[in-house]
Amino acid sequence: MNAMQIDFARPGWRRSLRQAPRWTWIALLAGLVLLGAAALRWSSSHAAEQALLADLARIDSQLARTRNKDSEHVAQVRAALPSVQAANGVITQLNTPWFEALDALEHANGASIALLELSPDRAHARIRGTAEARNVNAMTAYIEAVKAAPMFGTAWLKRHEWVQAEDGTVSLRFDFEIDWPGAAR
Amino acid sequence: MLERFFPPPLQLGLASRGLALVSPAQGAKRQGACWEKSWLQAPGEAPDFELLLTHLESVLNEASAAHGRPVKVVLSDAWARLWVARPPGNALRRQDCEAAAAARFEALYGEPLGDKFRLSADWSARRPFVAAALETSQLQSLQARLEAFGLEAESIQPHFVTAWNGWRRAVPDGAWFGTLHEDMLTFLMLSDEAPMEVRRLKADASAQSDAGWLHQTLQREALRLSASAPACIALAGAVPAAWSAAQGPDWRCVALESLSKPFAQAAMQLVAPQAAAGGAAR
Repeated sequence: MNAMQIDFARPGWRRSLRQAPRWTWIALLAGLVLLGAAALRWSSSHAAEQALLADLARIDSQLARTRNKDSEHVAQVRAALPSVQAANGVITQLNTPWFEALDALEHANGASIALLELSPDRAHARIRGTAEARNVNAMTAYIEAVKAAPMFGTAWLKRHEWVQAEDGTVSLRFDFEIDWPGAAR
Repeated sequence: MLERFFPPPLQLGLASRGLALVSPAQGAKRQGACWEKSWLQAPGEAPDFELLLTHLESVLNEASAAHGRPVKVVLSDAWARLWVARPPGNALRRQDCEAAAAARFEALYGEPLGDKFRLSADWSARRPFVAAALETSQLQSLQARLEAFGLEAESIQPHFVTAWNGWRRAVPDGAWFGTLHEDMLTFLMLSDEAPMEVRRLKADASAQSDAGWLHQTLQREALRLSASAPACIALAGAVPAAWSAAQGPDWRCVALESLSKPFAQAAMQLVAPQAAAGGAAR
């Protein structure tokens, strides 16, 4: 048989608290315990997260520092590039076997040819030259002789014309090109 | 420890011609205290609630240490009206039950509930339920007096309700339940644990010394409802020895309380179950 729920008192929080059944308090206590456990869990995971974030920030700053350093290096290298290229040019020029080439050209001359101009074209490993000969035979002989020289590859005639000097002598002026593998070293 | 935050409530018993205030002991430190007051009234004169409240004020003035505490008020059934209402078969809402209780009140007491009475009931839509009403003006002036002294009414219940809630587990199966207080017998007729009717009868000194009066009265009341008479009634209050002597197989009277001397006062009897059982009524 149940209790009679007859009461004329005004409802109030104090009355409700006092009349709350026992399981309300048990549930409240359990809820508080769960809340505490959750808070504990959260704080420990929060601490771990903070540590991870700190690690991450440290690594980031390290990375930024090394990146800065790298870019400084790159900038230095970029800045130094023209002088390096110039130095390289000098070195290549110094390394070019000029004297052997001139020797070989002189050797192929045979006194009937007058060399007027020689310009090396290292990018194409060639030598361009302008010379004068007394006649066609001397010219072809010169080309053949240059071809035969061991340090040159093939050689070919680019252009030729007859020119008359002031004293009335006529000579054959011609342009030629020579393959010069030694220049690309 | 809980008592520090929730001091045990005061017990205030309001009889028709007396009142008692009991402050239960708070742990080991604070002793319990008790104030009571009774007064005489010309016989045949209706009890005066305003007079009761005047005496309540003087008692609360004395018990100044009790201020600010919750208080459980037990009103004598003389101040309340009790009845049993039957919810309509198609009752769906609380209002249906309220209408049934109000209609039954009007049929029994010949006046509508209206605003004059405050209704409180053990609401049920499936079985008959006990309802109670107090005069609104009396309830309001009681609450106003309590609040004036900083007391918060935790409960305001008729004596019959507190007695039932306190003793219901001790009521034998199939028995009716009643209270005997200030020579008035209030009893609840039960059928299969469902309330049938509440009756309130005068049991004067000659009736209380008559061993057969109780049984005959209950048989008569059962006949009026064309119900079967109970084989047992459990009574709370100062049950006379002549009644509780009946312990036969066909008829017995169980005295739930054996009231000791301090509870000889009518008002003290109202707070007796709580004070004696230490709040076992909950």
